[in-house]
Amino acid sequence: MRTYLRALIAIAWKDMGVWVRRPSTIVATVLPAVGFMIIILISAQAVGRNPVALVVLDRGPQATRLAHSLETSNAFRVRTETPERARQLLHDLDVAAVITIPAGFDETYSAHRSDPVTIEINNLNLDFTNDLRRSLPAAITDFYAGQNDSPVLVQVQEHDLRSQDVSLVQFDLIPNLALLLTVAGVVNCGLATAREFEDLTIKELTLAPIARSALVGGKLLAGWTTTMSLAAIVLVGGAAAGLLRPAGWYWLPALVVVALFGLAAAGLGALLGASIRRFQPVIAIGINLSLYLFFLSGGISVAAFLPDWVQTVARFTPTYYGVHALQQAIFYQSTDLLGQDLLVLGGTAALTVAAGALALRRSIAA
Amino acid sequence: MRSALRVIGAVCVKDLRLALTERVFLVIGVIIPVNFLFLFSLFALTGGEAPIAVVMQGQGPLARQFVSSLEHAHSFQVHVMSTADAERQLQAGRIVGVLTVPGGFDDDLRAGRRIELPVEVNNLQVDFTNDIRRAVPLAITSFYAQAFPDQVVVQAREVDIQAGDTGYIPYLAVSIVVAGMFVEGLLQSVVLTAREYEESTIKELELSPASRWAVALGKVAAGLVLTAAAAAIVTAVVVFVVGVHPVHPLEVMLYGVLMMVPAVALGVLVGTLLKRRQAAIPLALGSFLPLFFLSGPFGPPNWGGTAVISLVSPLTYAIALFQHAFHGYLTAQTPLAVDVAVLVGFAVAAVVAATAVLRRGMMA
Amino acid sequence: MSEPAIELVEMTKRFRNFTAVDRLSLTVQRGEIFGLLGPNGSGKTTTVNVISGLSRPTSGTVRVLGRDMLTEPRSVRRLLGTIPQETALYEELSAEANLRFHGDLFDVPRSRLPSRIDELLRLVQLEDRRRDRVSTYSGGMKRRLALARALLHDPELLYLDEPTLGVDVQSRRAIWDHVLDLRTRGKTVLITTNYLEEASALGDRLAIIDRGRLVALDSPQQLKSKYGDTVLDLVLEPAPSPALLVRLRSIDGVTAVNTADGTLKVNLTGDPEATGRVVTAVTGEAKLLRINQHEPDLDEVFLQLTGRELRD
Repeated sequence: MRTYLRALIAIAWKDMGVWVRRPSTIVATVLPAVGFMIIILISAQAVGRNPVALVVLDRGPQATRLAHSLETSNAFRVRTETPERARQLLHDLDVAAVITIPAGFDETYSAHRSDPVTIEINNLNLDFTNDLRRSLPAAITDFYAGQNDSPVLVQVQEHDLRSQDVSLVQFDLIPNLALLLTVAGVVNCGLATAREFEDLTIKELTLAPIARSALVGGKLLAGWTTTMSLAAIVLVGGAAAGLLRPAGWYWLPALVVVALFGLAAAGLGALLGASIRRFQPVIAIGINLSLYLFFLSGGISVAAFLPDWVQTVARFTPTYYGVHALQQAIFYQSTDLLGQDLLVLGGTAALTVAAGALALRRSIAA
Repeated sequence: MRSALRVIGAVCVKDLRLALTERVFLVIGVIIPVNFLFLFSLFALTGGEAPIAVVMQGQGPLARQFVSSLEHAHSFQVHVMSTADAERQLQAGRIVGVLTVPGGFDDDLRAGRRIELPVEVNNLQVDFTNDIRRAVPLAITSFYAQAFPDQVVVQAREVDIQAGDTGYIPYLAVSIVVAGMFVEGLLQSVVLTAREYEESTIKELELSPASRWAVALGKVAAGLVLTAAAAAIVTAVVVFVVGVHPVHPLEVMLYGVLMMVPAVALGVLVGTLLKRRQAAIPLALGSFLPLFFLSGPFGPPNWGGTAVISLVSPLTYAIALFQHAFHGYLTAQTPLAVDVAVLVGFAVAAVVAATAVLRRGMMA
Repeated sequence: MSEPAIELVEMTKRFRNFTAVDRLSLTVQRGEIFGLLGPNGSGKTTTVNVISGLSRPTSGTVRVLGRDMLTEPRSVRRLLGTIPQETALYEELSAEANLRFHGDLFDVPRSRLPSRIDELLRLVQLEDRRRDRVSTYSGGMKRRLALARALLHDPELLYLDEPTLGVDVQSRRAIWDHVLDLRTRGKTVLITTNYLEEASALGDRLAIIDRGRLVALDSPQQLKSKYGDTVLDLVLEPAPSPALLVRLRSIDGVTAVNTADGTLKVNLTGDPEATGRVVTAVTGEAKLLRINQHEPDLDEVFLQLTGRELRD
């Protein structure tokens, strides 16, 4: 038993040593997740905050009030300009739209006549255009809401399902953590395995008087440990930044899910590495596969709001359950469907580890 | 000159033959752009409108008109259902919220009585929640403007600059064509270059009398052929599947070549510097994503707040050129000629840098 | 055509603070097989890299086939055929594809290329495997293919770096035959090797370098005789004391005394009585277990020149 453990740890230690000495691989493992975090940070700051030029041609109190509603709106980055300058800015793509409060606005308003505010949109794509289409009526809504004798008598009575709001950045940090875990596990363990075959160092391992299971176990342990070390950095960093702070014992399910995630990914990496035995396709398949799993688990959006057919596919994706369990535990202090999530993740980990081990044993025997 | 062309051809053919021996990688590389297109389309599908359940306790014409306003608010996919179904869907996390139109909605409105609209929100994350918080009042005002035009007189009148709307996916698809070509060019040339060092075959090139320029250009040419294959496939998907027909087809080809050269040359440079595929492949794949996101793939970079950083990325200029080629409009503040000049500059700089590094590596 | 094939004058190569080659001067004549010997790190590879234009000397001049390597590297490379230690073959491609690629790089006339490839594949006996991937070849076959490739553009100077390293005995013999055949065809061959048997069998002249300096340069036979006609290998019990070594060195006819692997090695001149004097001296102090007398090999020459074994 002692010899067995010694061999297992030696193999794991060797793989981890190689991993540490290849900083480019570590950087590459982290980069996809960093890329998606960038887009989330950009989205969090920029979505619905399009640059808009405002032209106010009426100086009456109502026009001024509407202009103020527009200027303080969260939906725009407003700059007040002359008509000529605004037109130039629109032409030069400095702004996405020009909103014009017409001359005689107050007079028409007081006379209860139709009083249109013009929005000229550079409708390059529907994402921006629809943001702008929503934003002006929203500002008009604010304008009426701020009026003492508002004619709008219908009001919203909001009930939130959850006790706390979670920011976009926080929310999407979880699928990103999942992406990091998947890429790290699949690529690192896949590379470590494929490299043994390509560099022929597998001979050193197969000729050693050690149990095959120690060899397999050592590789998986290394893949899992390196993956966990990256996860630890994200979790500690997230906690320090106040983005990931599960309260009380909810840390526990979160850590279990992360651990199972890493194990499943390492198993998948071993499976790929041992089946393909060449690092070049292993990296390409590993990163592609991880991206698919990322998008199907919600990616930079919310899994539940994906089209129905995609959701159906997503339900066969283990990362979907992992992300759900982590979000429930970390953000909502909930164990909702935790049993199901853990079962799927645990099952996947068992399956990939078994398949990875089998593939490795077969490759060694071949 | 004749012998330089011969070397370029020989290096190119040799590299293509080598690429063909690694078929799995080749196939994955060639379909990478299509892959990205598919994945980002998924993102685009969820980006715009949130699913919301509406429970119609009031069934009058004004209530129906209100629901119609909700549907036209550009914010929701409205599903009318029973209270029980709505609750179930909400708990299962399949909808963002439940809005209940109370019984007596029409009567209360006509009588000028205040109405409270209960909205139950699945506040999974603030971004979606705020969409609802903004969009429901908006729908209410829009509804008032239609139902009671003498009471709500301030309305938005839209004037569009472009003749027609461009869908989000058709727009994004064009950016992804560029991204796909870039990553494929980078990946293939990084592999073809790094492998020379890894397998020591660089000696064969080093010891030959062939000009280093010719060797570098031969490598670039091989990368271009492989990237062109990927570009052709993804462009075909964009044209025939997504249905975006380029307004200027010739520009697509011209800008395509312009885009591929710096990507491939950059690959030769990175491959020469890293000298190991194990390092170069994941780095090429990994570094492309942040670069892509910072280059204004979803709209003009200055609208999205990445104006300054996007200037250093060749993808920014290529995306602007391709949007013009496909959709016929400008999406960047720089004129097309400047975009072309910058891309040519990137291409020349990358080829020069790759050759210089190759030369330096050969003559220590 | 009278200029030497290789001419190094006071060539020095420094890497930061480390001097890999120190003012090395040597001349290789056309048509000879020239061996370069030295342990790892002796400056052998750096010297060869400078000769083949892969590395620029820090100072001194390098002329290859009458041309200055620094100013005309491309025209020199055209006349130089190389078999690097790593063979540097494209393993995924066939032998034929490798040769065709080389022909294009070296601008071998297209009209002549197919017949030249046939000829060389025949020469190295790889005709029947010409379309197979090189990755399926044995080590010896790869070496032979590398030789064919180096000869494809008909170089005047051929450089072989450890040509038979890791090669089976049969292939080694075949490669030697090819190299010797090159001399008969008037080619100049520069060979680096750690196999002394190989250097002796092939080289017309040998240069021994150590720590970046030339320590000896002569024909194998001359080197052997210059550093002792006879070598006595003596196994003693107990091992010889330092005092005995000093006493042996003072005996007439003894040119050098060394110990290696527990064996006392005594180099002698042609004096027929020297052997007797040595035996008398050692038996007075220790028990002589074994004695062997033979001609010196290059290993012993190297040991004597540098005080170190060749493969330190």
